[in-house]
Amino acid sequence: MSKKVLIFVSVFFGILPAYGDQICSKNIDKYETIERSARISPDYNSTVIPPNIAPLNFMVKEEGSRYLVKIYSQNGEAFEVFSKSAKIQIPEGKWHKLLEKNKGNELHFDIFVKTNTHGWVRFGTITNKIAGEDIDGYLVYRRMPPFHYPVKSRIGIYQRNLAGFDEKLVLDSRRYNANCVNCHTFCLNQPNKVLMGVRLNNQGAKTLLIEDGVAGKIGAKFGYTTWHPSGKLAVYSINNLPVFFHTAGNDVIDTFDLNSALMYFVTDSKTIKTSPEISRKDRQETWPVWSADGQYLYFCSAPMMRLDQTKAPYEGYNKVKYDLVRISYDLANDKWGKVETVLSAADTGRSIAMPRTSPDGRWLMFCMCDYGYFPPWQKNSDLYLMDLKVAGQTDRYKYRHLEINSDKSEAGHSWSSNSRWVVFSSKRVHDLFTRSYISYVDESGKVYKPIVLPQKDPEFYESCLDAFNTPEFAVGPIAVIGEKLARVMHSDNQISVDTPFTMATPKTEKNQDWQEAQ
Amino acid sequence: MCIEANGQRPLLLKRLAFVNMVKGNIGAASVYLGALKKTLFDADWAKDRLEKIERDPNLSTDEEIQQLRSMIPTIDRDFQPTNDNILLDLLDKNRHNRMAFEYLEAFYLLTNQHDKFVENLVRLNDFDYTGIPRVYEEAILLYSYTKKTKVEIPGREISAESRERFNNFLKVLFGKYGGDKKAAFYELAGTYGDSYFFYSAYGLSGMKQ
Repeated sequence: MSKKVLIFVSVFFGILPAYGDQICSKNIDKYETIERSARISPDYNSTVIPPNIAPLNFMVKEEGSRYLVKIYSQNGEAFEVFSKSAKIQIPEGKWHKLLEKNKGNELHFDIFVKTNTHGWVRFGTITNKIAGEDIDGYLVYRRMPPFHYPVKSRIGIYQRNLAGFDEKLVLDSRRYNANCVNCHTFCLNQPNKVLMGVRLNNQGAKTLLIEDGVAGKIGAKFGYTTWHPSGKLAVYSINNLPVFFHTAGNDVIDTFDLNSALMYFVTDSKTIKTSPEISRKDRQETWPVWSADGQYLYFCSAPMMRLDQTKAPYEGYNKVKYDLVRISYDLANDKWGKVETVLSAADTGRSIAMPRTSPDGRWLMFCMCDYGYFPPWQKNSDLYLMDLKVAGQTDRYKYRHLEINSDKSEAGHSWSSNSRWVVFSSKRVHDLFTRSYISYVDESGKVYKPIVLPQKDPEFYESCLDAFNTPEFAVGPIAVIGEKLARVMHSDNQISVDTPFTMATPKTEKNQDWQEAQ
Repeated sequence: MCIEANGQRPLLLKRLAFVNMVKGNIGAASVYLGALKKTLFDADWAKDRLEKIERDPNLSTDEEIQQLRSMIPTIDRDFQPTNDNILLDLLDKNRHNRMAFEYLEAFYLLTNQHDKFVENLVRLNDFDYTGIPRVYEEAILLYSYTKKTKVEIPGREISAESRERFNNFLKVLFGKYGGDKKAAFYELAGTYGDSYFFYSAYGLSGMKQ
């Protein structure tokens, strides 16, 4: 039968694809072998991947006119993906079946490329390990242009189903007429207890509280927030954070904290409190995070610097370095202990920020950068890991620099509920366009090479002008999103709260550190 | 910021791609080029640049990029759009940076900082101007007139034509209209509406018919 006739018959009877277009590895009886593995983008090679992650679609960065990838593991059926372009998009069903049957096993990609000069070429096998432990089902992050200042641009909070590519809008600043949608904080990665900061054009800064499928609005601004594991209270920072721009260097945007303190919101009584220990007049307190057992609050603290605001750029801003400290807390009696230093900037020589404890209580991951409180805007920011179990036994807080760091900024990390996965924001590939990366952390604390959050189109990031930041794992989707949440945000109803003071103020020398609440 | 304010226009994508190539932010440049590749008229330019990056990731062999990189300011300051520091830094780095010089002098003229404008005129000799640009001549004449001082630029003279224009401007404003700026407006705008004399008197430019 001629090719033309066969194509006609195929099309007529709806039998697709047409003759000659489908290839399987069995048909490739002759090929050259190249030992090195094919270059692929994103780089999904030699690492550990979640057993419930979406297909790791990729581009083959080798010249060719036809591409074939054989995907297999120890158990289950191997399958192949054929493509006339270098874009490899893996069928979701087969992918999940294979991964599900091979938790703890290796996953292999054999890549064949048909070249103009050598015919079919087979590259060395790409191998990844499929972890035994699942990743949380959802990732909630912000998508926004790299600069939100001085032009207020669109910021969206999205929730992504990690088993597939479904991304849903939670809240969008432009569509829902907000100035900014800020950090989102889950209690123990549960989507039924969430706090979300918003700045409204007509109402100022508020905080949305989503509890068991019901959303409400708190009439106060929460900064960096952490839920107590009991869910009974949330500690948050209040900060005074001016933004400025550098004239030299690649990181042009910068900020520092003029003054800050910690407060806490008690869910039952809907009250806001603080303690002198976490709102000292001679210190700046920020980035709070609870220990897994809720007995300690870790946070970052720096001496109050009397920055000269008449000397641009606020002379001395780059001398401010934060210590990592902790304070004990007795939930039953609502009593705070004394602040103790965990790791001092004087010892590390760097400024500590964004501490995050693993839900199993074992690890504390944090950032260090040259100065200040905000690592995402510092190229030199890296991730570090501290073993809290060993610290508890030896009373020595040892930490180590992680191998997964790049020469660009790493920050904004979050743990999965089983403590086996971390997601973090990195500028390693696309500079100011931050992307979310996922790494496996084994029981010994080894952190494996990260993979970028997979996308259906493997070229997605190559033209995506959004930065992805503040990624947070959640075990399920947030129930109240979009229009429903926006209605609550703009409603006149709000949970009125009395705050001990409304905002940190730099006028500390006048014996009036904090502006009294109105 | 321009994208946030104006949308993903090809002109902006192109400029941002280029700026990031110069700054060595190749990753960011690639993303802008990737977006530009999807546009109708600039796709080829974007593909060409992406191929260049593929061949030479740091663009170390690109002469234009290298030349621009040599002019990047290295002194770090707080950027304020209302001060001249960054332009002076650029000129310190490369005294032949004509664009920086012209922006600097334009900034001084627009903000009526005439002393600083005059102070920097000596830099004219760092460039290949023939004579003195007309607007600069007008500003110098105005400065000399109001400060009752002579401005000398080695090797350069103010043209007779500019002197005559200035004298005529004064004749119309003070002679014919007795210094009544409001009354003199239309006549001066018609003849001198593109001059610095006129801008200095009325705060308007581009009025010449």
